[in-house]
Amino acid sequence: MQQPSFDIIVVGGGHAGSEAAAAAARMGARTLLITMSLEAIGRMSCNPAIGGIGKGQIAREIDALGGLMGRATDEAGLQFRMLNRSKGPAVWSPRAQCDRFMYAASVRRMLEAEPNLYMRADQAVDLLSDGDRIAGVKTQLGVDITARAVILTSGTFMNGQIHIGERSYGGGRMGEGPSKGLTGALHRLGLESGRLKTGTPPRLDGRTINYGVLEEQKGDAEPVPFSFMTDRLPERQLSCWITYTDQEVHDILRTGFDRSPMFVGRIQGTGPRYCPSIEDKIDRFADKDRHQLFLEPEGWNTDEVYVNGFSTSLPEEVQMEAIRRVPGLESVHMLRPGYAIEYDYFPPYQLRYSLETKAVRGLFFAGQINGTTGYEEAGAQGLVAGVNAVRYLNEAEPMILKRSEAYIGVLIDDLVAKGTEEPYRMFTSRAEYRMMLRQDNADERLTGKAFDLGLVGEDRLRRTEERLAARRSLLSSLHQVSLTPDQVNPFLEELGSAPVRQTDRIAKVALRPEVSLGDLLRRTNNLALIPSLPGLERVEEMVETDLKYEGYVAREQEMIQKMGQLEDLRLPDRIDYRAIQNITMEAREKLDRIRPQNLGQASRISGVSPSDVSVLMVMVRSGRFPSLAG
Amino acid sequence: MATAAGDSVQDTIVARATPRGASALSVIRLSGGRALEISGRVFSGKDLAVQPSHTVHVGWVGEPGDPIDQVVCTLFRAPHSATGEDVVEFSCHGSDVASDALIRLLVRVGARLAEPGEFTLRAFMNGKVDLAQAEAIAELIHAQSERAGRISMSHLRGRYSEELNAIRERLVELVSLLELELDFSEEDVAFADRTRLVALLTEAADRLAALMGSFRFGQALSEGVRVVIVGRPNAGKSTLMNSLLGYDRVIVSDIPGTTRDEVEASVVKDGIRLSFVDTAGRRETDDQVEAEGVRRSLDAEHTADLVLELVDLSAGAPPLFAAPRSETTAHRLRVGNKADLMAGTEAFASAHAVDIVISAVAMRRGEEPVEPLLDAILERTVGHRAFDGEHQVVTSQRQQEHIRSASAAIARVRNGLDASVSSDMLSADVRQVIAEIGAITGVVTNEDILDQIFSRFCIGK
Repeated sequence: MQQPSFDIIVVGGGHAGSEAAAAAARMGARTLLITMSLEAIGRMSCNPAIGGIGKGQIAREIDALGGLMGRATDEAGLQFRMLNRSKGPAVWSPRAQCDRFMYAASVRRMLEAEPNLYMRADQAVDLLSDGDRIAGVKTQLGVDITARAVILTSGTFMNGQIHIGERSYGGGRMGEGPSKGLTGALHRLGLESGRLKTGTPPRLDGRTINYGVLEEQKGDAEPVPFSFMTDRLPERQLSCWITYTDQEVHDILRTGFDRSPMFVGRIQGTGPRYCPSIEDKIDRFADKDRHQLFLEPEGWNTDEVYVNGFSTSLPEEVQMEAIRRVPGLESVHMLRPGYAIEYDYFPPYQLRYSLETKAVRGLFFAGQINGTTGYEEAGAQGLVAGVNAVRYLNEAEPMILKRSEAYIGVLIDDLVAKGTEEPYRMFTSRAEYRMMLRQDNADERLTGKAFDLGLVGEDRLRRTEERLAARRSLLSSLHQVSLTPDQVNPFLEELGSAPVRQTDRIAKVALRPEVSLGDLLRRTNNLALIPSLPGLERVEEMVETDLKYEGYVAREQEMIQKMGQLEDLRLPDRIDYRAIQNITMEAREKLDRIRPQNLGQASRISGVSPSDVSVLMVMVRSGRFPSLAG
Repeated sequence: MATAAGDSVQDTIVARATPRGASALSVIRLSGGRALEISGRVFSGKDLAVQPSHTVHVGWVGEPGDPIDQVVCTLFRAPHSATGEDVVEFSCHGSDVASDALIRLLVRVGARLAEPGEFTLRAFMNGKVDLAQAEAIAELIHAQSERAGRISMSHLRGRYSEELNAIRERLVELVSLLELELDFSEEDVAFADRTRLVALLTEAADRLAALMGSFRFGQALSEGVRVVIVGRPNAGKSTLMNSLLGYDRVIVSDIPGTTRDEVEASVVKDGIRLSFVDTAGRRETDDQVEAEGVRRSLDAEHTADLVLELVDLSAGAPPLFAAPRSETTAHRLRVGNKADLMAGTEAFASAHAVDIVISAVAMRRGEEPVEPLLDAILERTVGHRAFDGEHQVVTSQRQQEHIRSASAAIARVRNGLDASVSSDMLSADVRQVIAEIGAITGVVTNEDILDQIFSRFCIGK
């Protein structure tokens, strides 16, 4: 059976697939989203939270580019916190616990609102190609669906294998089967695959938790939304709860080690070092006598609870016995045990910056298939792949975000330039231009670009402009309006800050680390200087950041300019790296495999030394380098 | 990844293009985007900025009212020059004094001293080096990279680099703890120990200060040390000068104010060339010529490595300055003179913070050795006693820049710790310290390697 043809097919309806399909459809492409289960669209398979450190910044960027994640989070959020408030605005990171049912419903509704977007419950089992171009997919229901571009967002489904103790079976998520066939199809098209592992903790019945003995963690009193378009957030918030394991819990867990699929070697895939299972934690950090656990509600209307920090694939009875030793969980009922899952991924050095595979024109990858972990990382790639699939169809230049423009740029550059051998997640320390890439200015950085691409409408663009204008207006007022010692010294004294001796601009007083701009304006009767701002954020907070970071941002700008010289030096596709005698063997191999697009990318590949980069620079500048035949 | 690629490409560089020493002509060459502008600021003659390429102009160089030399100036506009950038060449009369003065002046108005081989590097980068040489260059880079550690250390061996590398490693460890705080603050993690950070930074600052000292020594070896002698009229400046030089280079008389112009001459001590500049005595004067001399002596202080302030102990007059003036960067040495004419000089010397007591007249007569004074000068300028051959000597301008930047970043971290700034800012500054130390010790960046190659090998000349 032959189905009507589409411009773009998106395989998978998770966070990557949803963003990809929405972006492509919004840009005008006739888009089909194929998912094994329509009910699973936008599902939070692991923790019921969006954002976090490094990840919250990505979620804000997705929103600034017109993506779904921010709006769905604001709608479904049941607890909002700005993490790292005490650590400096560059690393302030929004995080929200979500009602995962509402989240999925919100995503589904936004997809249905896209007129160019169609959905189909089915499974892609093979790929159609025409020479080195993708031509569509073949489905489990026996249909060939043609399209000029295909975006694969297979998550943990490709050859997914679930492990719990000595039990092991094929599955993409608990209760859902694996997808078979695509890995083979991709091998035939010349792509290499690898195997990764991730895990998830047990889910508990909240009615059987003794909350009375637990430490409560409330949301922020003044919650900040994820979307730049949000004017209201839910008025009530739910709390999370904190408890701890102890030696006794660890001892019980150890009794299951001989049946742990990780320790006995049944799991081959590499897991994330920064998100270890509880058995990994007590094995590797034996001297630590307790580990923190967060009990997170899964929704407004359910008692299901997620046990953050207790990811495990030990036998179910060991999980059960151990968790019942944890304070507050003595008589808990487990709704579902934790498990580990292994799945196929395709090392991302096989990608271009557009997320198109180098081997097959028109075939794009996004999300866990590229070796990442996390909803935000997946959503970001989905959005980029969706945009670039459309750009590919239109024979237009791809949208490539620079490392200096967005965390999304850092993410994709890291993947493409270095590849990854363990599930990749974002950290703020990965971003060398962290002072500039803040969650509060994602709109300023990206929304103009999104408007030009057709991802967002004028309403959003106007809003970005208004925010920017408010910011500039306050900043210039602060540089114009002065404070006399009499006006400001009482306030400074209270803070234990040295008094000023002469009249100074507000901007200068506000530079002091201990001075909060909002308080300063309030105490000196200058609140009238603060322009009104659409949304729930405070312009004085943003401007305070602008002021205090000025010097650091200037240094980052200098660095960007310097790196730019390497980024601008394109490496021709035809360089035969294996024939360059003057670089190390390791560099020859890696450059040949990764085939970087410019010298900046080459310089970030591990194993490529500065001297190798210099040799390349000399060769490319002089035009003298060995070329591949043909 | 930190890189210094492009660190310097915007700079306009200057260097002597002909060997030092007596010759009929010496050529000073500038290259870079501001070569014409900078040259124009020191050249009186035609407006260089509007002259066409490949033209020759005669004029004077110097500051207004203070000519250095009459020169021939040749212009080459980009890209039609040896380096592919704007190039200006000044042909001076062959005195090192004049050409040194011109280079100093050009640096003062915006040029930077070129590193060895830097003109060639720029020529290559701008495609001015024969293509056939590219492969040879690539081969050289490769060959050198196998000794990469040693290359960048060609000026920096021995224990300093080991110590700095060890400090760098510990800083990396600490910064990773800072990052841990930032990226995993929600988890149960240990925080970076601030007291350990402070101790480590202090240690790093000390090492860098020591390296900076070795830089001064290295620079002294190649550039010499410029000592300006100042003092009240008749303090015995000219007598001292003649004593030091061993011959009557300066007219000496008993009439205060005899020396009305700067006089410069040099001696060599321990392989270091010491240039002495005698200046007009410092006092209020109505004599126009002398007033001009006084003005110049003030100027001279600003270009000096050391200001030797001569105090007449017998006159009992207070020293010129109550305390060393902070606005001049030059070091100061306060020398008490005419010890032969009075008893009890020690009390006076200590009351006025005199560093060393001499009798210039006795020196002149050969009754008192000059070495203690020369040693004191070297000690104060290059601290050479600290460098006994086993230690390291930094001579590279670039390394000096990295030492400076590292020290500045350390100062920022310390201030930040005092002011309790947020850890993201601390981390940014500690990261910069790490990058700068890496650049000093050999975690080299791309262009540094090329720079090294081009400074060690004379390619394209």
